[in-house]
Amino acid sequence: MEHEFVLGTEEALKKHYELMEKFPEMEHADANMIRVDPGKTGEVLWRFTKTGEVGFACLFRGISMPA
Amino acid sequence: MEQVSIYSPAEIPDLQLLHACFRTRTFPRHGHEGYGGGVIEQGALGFHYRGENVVAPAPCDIRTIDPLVEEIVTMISKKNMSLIFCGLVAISGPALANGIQSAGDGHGDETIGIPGEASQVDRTVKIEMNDEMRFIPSRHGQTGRDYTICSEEFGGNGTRVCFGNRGGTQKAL
Repeated sequence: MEHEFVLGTEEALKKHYELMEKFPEMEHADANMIRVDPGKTGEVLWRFTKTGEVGFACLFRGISMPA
Repeated sequence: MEQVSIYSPAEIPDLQLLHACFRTRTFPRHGHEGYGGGVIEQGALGFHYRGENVVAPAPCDIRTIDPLVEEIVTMISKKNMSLIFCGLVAISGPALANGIQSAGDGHGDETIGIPGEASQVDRTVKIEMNDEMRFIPSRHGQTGRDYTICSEEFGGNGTRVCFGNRGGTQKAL
């Protein structure tokens, strides 16, 4: 199945995860995320401007998401 | 001068208001996280919406936001363009300011960074995901499954995140 890589803070990822459950057809085309077909790879180019831990998740159709 | 203000009235904390002024700005294909509406105060807004190219000229052109429809927006004003939007959930997609908060909602004061430039990438991180990975939320002080990137380690001028989808197999990419 497809997976999305989404960079974000934990709070924002959780918030978006809840929205994705409500609107499973929602698609994204943002710089901080990429959708990848099974067996494929994709790239996100990012410049981190703060130190600390940054979460990532797959929010696609409520499949999976980190805490 | 480009300015973006995002705020919530104290009386209605769930309502987010956006007041923005742009001169030249294009947003790639994106969606919104909730319904909303707005008024273009001056300038004009061009966008690709439901397969059509549309121009929404000022003054007082009213725009609505449908979270299930994606759009491409181009500010086409020769002068500064300003608009006011409100909605129960803010705009998703590319950041309206320089920073992107996270998960695409584009607002807030806790930014995680900005889109990188290929010419400035000086480090790479590889991440793989498979179909067995599931969200285990942290609740009531308990710690959930943790998927994080340490930004100190990847906090250079630019990071290339190589994301691999392993699907349902254990075959390495």
